[in-house]
Amino acid sequence: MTAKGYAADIVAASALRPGSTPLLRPAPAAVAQGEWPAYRLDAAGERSLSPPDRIKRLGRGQAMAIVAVKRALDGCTASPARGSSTAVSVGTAWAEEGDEITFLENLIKLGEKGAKPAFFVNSVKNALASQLALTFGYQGENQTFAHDALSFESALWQGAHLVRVGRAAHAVVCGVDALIELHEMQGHLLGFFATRPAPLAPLAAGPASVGQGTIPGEGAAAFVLTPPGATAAPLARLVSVRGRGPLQRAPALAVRDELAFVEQGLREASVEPDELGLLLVGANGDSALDAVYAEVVQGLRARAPGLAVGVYRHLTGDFPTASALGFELAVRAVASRTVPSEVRRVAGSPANIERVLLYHLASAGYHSTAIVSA
Amino acid sequence: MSSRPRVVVTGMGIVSAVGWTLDDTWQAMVQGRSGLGTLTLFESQRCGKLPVGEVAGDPALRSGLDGGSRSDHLAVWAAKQAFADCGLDGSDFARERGSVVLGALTGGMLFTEEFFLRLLREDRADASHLAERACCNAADRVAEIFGLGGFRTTLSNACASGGAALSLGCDLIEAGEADVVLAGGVDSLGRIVLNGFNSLMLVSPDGCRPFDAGRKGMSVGEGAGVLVLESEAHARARGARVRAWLAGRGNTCDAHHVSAPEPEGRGLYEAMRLALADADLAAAAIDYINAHGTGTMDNDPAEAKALRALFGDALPAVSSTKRFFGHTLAAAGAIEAIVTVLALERQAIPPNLGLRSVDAKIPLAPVAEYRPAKLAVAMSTSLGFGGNNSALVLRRPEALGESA
Repeated sequence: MTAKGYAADIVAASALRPGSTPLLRPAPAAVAQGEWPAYRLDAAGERSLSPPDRIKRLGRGQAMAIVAVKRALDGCTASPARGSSTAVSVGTAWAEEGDEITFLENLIKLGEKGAKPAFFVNSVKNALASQLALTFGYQGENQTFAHDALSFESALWQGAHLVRVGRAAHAVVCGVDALIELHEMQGHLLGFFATRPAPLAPLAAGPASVGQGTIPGEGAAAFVLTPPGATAAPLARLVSVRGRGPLQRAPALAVRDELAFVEQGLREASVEPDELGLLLVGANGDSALDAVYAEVVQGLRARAPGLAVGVYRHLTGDFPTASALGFELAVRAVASRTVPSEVRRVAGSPANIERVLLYHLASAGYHSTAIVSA
Repeated sequence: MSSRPRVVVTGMGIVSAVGWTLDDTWQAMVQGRSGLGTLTLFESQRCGKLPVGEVAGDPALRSGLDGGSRSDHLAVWAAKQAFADCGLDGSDFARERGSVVLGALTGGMLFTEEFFLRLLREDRADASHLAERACCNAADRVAEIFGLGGFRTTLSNACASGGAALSLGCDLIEAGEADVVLAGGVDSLGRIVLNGFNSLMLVSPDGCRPFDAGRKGMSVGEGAGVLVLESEAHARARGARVRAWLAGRGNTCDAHHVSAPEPEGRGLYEAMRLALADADLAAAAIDYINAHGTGTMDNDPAEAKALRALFGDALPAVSSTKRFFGHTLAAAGAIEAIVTVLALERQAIPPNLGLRSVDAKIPLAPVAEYRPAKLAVAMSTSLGFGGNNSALVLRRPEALGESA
């Protein structure tokens, strides 16, 4: 979305973040010896992800999404109405794969008679968005986007589009991923995840912070969007969101291309680098990926020397929709005009933040920008 | 009339249990030939005798892809047909303005199944296909092959995904995000899906019979449908043949039950009403409805009630084509939109295959036999788990001139 003006008002936001310390758990013996670190919501005291009474059985991602939306609504002065005027737009790459794998393991261990329908129903990726509709009574368009690191950006684009063109009065937008052992196995087997237990230190200076791979994580963030100008005092405005995928598998990430991509995002939104109060990036502590981020940051700061830069994945770990948690920090930065305490600043000292640029790059080549303004 | 761009269909590609091309598909309609048959893709003690809509032959040979999941191959083959059909040669649009929106649920689920079979039976973790199991890979492969560098996403709205993907494709064109959108859906058979539906006692032991009094459930299928969407202006500027006008769409959620449809079909009613309003048409304008019609005990009455509520006594011709393909899940909405366009082009109504006697509790009489008919406007509906509903209104291209 490259709106002239801006795309939508953001009237509520919340996030469930795992916290700053990865938990260690034994690795599956078939894959590795020792322990694996991961950022989990359990570490942040989120054991109380309890479902409403009337819902018998929720998957973990569903519970995370419901809690995130409830928290967003608690602080919302322009709450969405039940019924057809409220749309739900969810980005989730992993959805409820935990239940899918439980269903599959039962099939294998117990035979096909062991297939439990509840796990299958939850395994359908949009079970999460439909649980939000059920829980809150939203009967408008209900979309689930499952496209790796573009999932949240797709959901955000669609939510903003729906309110902008009048197909919804409110859009509840959510980014959520719940980590399961399969994701850890996959990430370790394919060489994306590190085994070092030290917390992530994205874009940190010094050799101690440098290492191959990142640490997996999980979390959820929820937002309520309304049409531009429909709310008297929104938290922030969504100016633009833009996500793109690679045109080849396992692409070599080129700094020049990435810088051009970010500048294109700014240009389409008619924003100059020196108009930004904060650049929030998704650097994840992986030495190769962070090197690209660092050069893109350097390139932007060459055009806007005072640009403040922050990172946040030391609180979330790495997962496809982690950008939703970064987006929540950007909204809070604009709403408060200050850098949220959770953000680790790596450059600059911003004052009176009116505009934040988010930039995300995944090792698979998916990349996105989003701009939030006061 | 609003000033938004009008979205047209300029290319289509399809693969399903009845064949690999548009012509195969329509010939099956004319001949009343079902693609349901015996499962050969994997062994299954409980589901092996259930008729399924399995694509015959090796999709990898058709797609030409090096690696990838069964879903990837099906999607790429359908996209290749669609791209060839629309006449684009790659130099007539900016690649950054080319988008891909696919509905998908299963992706490389077969790879996930094989990974766990080895892990649990042999205590061996074979990572060779793990990177190819995500459902977004199909859209990525399609984008890579055609160099489409614009907005790209995968919608996973259960069995309403294909219709929703076409709706989102329209959004992208109307919002000025894209000039060309390859939109559709894909899914492939797998152990989880087949056993999942069977565990819910939704699968018919003798093949689905939508709207029939003796129906016993759905049949699971696989396939892909991809449509090329453009604004009318973009298509005209390059001299493209317009196959249909995607004139309206509506999407809703029942917010009733996580897997069952709302019994009165209120959500579908609203989706169809929105689609008609979006097309600026009255219900009486619809000549044919390609219904979702899965053949389950819950879906068919709910859908029939919604249709009757909207159209009253003037219900147009209705048929479900699920017995041809089986229920192709995320592909269903796209495959059935293609069938609907073919019906408009060939001026004939595809039959509601398998119908023997109409259920007295279902207030409609589907078209049981292939039948020539004068069709100008048609609707295609999709319903999915989570109470998702999607309705599309498609018109013959001459209507563009009439409404200019």
